Amino acid sequence: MTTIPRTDSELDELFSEIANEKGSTHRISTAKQPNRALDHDDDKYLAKLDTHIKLYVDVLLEATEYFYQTSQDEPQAEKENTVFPKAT
Amino acid sequence: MPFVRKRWKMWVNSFHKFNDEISKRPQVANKLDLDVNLLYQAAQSYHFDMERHKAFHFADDPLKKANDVKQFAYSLYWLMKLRPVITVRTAKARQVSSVSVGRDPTLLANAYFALIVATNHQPGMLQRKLLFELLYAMTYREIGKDGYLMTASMIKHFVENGFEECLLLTDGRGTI
Repeated sequence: MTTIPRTDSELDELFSEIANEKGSTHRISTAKQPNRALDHDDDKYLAKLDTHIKLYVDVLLEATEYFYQTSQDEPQAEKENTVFPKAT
Repeated sequence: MPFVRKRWKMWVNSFHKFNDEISKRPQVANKLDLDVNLLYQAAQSYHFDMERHKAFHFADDPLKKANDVKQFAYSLYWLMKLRPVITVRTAKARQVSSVSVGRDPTLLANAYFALIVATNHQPGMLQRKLLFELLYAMTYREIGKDGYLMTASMIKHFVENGFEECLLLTDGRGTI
């Protein structure tokens, strides 16, 4: 299906191709980029990504069923408590 | 462009995992693909917003990181604005295709992907009725960066403090 590479080196290569195509149209040039921290912790993001996606794909698909119910003007099947979970 | 490169690679990896997972679900007949150039534009714009935010608020502390509210809101905004996920309709899917969002979840592929990326910055897990409200608003309403920032901030507040701490319950006449 998709031909987008998965390995780090192939992704680097593809990114370089895309970025070079943009040439001088970069809104943020490398020269102007200040020495700032990354905006989030990559390791933390990647560590929970697999579990996160497995959980969320199912819940998002379940949530999508409400679109069909809404379009049918059906009362929602159950009165759920929408209280947010406590942070873990 | 080290920051944009890292963000772009993280999002490509997130798409691969998302695509691998969602394609296993029986209700998903269509295939998904990714426009990597649009994703690049989204990563660049996300970074631009973050830089502007940090330059203004963290002028004295350039190593300070933006909080998860900004990460949630700006990633959601740019991934929904530029919509890099592409739905490829298969012959089989065309036979059973429907214009109903509830019947064809791939119509919401970009919203799914944006929410998966954005919510990975937050603790806890959103329940499906709230996710439905978010999906609905992201699909049919016009939400700007400020709207996403306020939504992210409220969700974070609820997650950290509990719903009861954020509502003043009344009897309907304003009496506590």
